[in-house]
Amino acid sequence: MRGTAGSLFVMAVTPSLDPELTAVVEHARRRARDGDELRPPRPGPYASRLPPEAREIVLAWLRDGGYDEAVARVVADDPELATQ
Amino acid sequence: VAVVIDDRLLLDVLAGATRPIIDEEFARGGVYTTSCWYYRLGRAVNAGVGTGSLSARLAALGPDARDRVLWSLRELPDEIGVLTSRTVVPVMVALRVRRPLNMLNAEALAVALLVGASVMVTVAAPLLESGATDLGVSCRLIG
Repeated sequence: MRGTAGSLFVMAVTPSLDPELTAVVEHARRRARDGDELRPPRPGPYASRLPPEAREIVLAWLRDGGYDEAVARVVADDPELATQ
Repeated sequence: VAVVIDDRLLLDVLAGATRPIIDEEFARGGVYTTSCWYYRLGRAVNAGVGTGSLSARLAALGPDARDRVLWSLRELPDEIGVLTSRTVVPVMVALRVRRPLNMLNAEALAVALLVGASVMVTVAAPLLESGATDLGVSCRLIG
């Protein structure tokens, strides 16, 4: 049986959800849609607001392990925020 | 398909390190993160006062510029979607997966289900990937 592109997409994302979860997702999705929450507040291209010199510092912190060290300290205090 | 990005990718975005796949999703209005990843990023940005901390590294810019940068990293841009706990928590509670998930991973999968997105992470996350498989959610590890 052939479906619409939309139905094929949903099947691809959720091939085996149990009915209870499917119902919860659909209900939450409707609420979010009604509250205009499903889309970002201002959808569209994004450009960094940081000045170039700050971008370099932040990216160096990310690339050389400084960020991971900071996250490790956070996660040590709060395992619910750990990558599993 | 929209994407739910982890905190390292979020920091990449905020610092202007673009990736074509994420830029394409921005153009479609399909970039999301989670409250946990957003919170973890904020905690990491604020963490520590030693020489390795971000605050110490930004000191060279001067106190006013440093504070502006830190403030910018704490504010989630409007181009990035984040769903409220009122919407996400009921889905997190209803998730049925073989291996138990912590809050960070449960939220990522719940948001992905809600917005029909792939989860995009930069660090291997076996339990997240296992849960994603159980739920039919695409989970992509990118460098």
